[in-house]
Amino acid sequence: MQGKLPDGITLIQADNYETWLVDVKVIDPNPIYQNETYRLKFTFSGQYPIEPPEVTFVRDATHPIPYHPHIYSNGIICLDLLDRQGWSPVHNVESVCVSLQSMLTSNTKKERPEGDDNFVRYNTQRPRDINFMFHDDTV
Amino acid sequence: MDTTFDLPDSTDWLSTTLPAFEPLEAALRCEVCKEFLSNPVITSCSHTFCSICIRRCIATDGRCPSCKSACSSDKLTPNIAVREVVMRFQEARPKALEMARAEKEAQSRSGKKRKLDETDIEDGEPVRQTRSRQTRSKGRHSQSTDPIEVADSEDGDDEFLPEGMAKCPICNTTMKEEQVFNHLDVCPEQNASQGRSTRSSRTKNTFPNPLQRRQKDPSPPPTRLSQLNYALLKEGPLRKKLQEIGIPNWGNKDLLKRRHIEWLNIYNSNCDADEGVRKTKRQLVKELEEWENTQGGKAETKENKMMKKDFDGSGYAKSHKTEFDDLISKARAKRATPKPEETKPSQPEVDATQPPKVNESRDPEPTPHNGSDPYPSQPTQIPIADNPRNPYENNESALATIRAKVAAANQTGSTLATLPSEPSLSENDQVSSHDIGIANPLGSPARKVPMFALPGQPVRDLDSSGSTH
Repeated sequence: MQGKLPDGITLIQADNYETWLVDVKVIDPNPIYQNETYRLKFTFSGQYPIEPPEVTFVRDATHPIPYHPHIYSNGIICLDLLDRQGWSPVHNVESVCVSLQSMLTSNTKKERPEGDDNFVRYNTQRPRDINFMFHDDTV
Repeated sequence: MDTTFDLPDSTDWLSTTLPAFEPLEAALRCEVCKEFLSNPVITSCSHTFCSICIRRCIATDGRCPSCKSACSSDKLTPNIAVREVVMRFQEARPKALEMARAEKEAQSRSGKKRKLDETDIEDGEPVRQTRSRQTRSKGRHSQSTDPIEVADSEDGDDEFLPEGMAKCPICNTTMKEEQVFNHLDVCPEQNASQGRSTRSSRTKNTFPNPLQRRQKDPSPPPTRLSQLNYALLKEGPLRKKLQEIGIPNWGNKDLLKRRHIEWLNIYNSNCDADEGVRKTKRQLVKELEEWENTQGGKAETKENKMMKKDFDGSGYAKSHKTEFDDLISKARAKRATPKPEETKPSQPEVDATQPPKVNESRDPEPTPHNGSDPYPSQPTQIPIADNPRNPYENNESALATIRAKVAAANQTGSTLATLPSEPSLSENDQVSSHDIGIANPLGSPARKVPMFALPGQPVRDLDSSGSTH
């Protein structure tokens, strides 16, 4: 799989079948994401690929959380693809990364989701237990 | 886990002289498990997957993973052509890959001019030719026993019959066309067994013909098991049913149901297998055991249990009290000697897997701002205590307070996982972690009682789960 990853996607760590780290860069000249690299953390359950992996952005000194109306500032991503309903076992790490890359590329609003502060402060659930409302089909 | 990288993969071809084989191999692999299609079946929407993969998918959400259209497992049909192709490809693969790799190495070693020549001849051949020629040349290279192409050439030989002549279909003797019918009645091979005639044709052929092999062994295909109506079935009858089948029947109803579904998946996918490789029931039971250990009742579900809404937080806290106490004392020791660089803000990743411990180690820190303080991670600045090493050493009442708080935190069942919190706040913390203390957990912020120096870990509102619910 590491043989031919698309541009802007780098596998950082895949030592086991539980957690992988992947770096994603937005290739197209979108001013919001210029010169930044984002780090994604994939957590796989025993049921993968029947069940979706848990995918979040992680932040450290060199990797910020990208601004996007569907990405909370704690790294949680609201994307139907990663939800049980939207997930399909034919997806893989690469296709998820490409989807997120294009989700960022097509974004024009440098903002956090509505209620981000509240959500980030009080959320104690894991992403897979959160029931997102997928209302926005434009991204 | 170095073995991970030794797994055969379609990308193996990219570094050879035959990169065009990469998509070919990818097409022969299951989109779900990424392995070569095993017992491929085709869905009503014409997508092909491993039988076991698509059955598991359908059991989960009833949809085709490729196109998301509704799918039912009793509409699945074995895709025999694909099965054959995959089998033959796998047979041919090692040798072909080896040759293509060696060729590439030879190319990179030899001079540039030679390399050009070689690619013209060798690289060009398989890629540019038509599909049929390609398979044929590949088959020859890899000593494939592809019966179809051989049969072609044999047929060609057979056509060299003089006009008006025909062959006896049984003994292959050449004779005049009109004689054949009469000959059939007296043909010496007539009474010989069918097996013998196959053998004679095979000695001539030298290649086994899968079609003949299939006809030779005409055992009826096993009937697939059908699903039960789990909603209508009570636990007792379901348990009995599992016993009848001969699979483990312990566990609660949900587990029984899941086990039965998985058994159907395993059993029915075996029905889609080629007769030659069909497994015995004993092997299938073994496979179910594997499932039991990884995803069924014997699976490691520690994490899952904790995530459940009805998780018994206080019970867990009691049964792990010694561990928690140990962690608390460790955390205290750590706090006594603050090392700001020790923990980074990205550390909470670990938290998700060990929620109660994390809460435990942090609970002793003041958390009065749950849900009320808009800036929980910017505590009131207070001077460092005179004796920051052991601020509570002789303060029994303060220690008691902390213990009470710990116990209270355990009781609230605040054992849900917490996610990395807003790190922009924690960055602030890091900057100031040296010179600030924290407010007294019980007193009002205004009292500013010196307590202890902040540890390296930034203070975050991680514990809100306990009180906000």
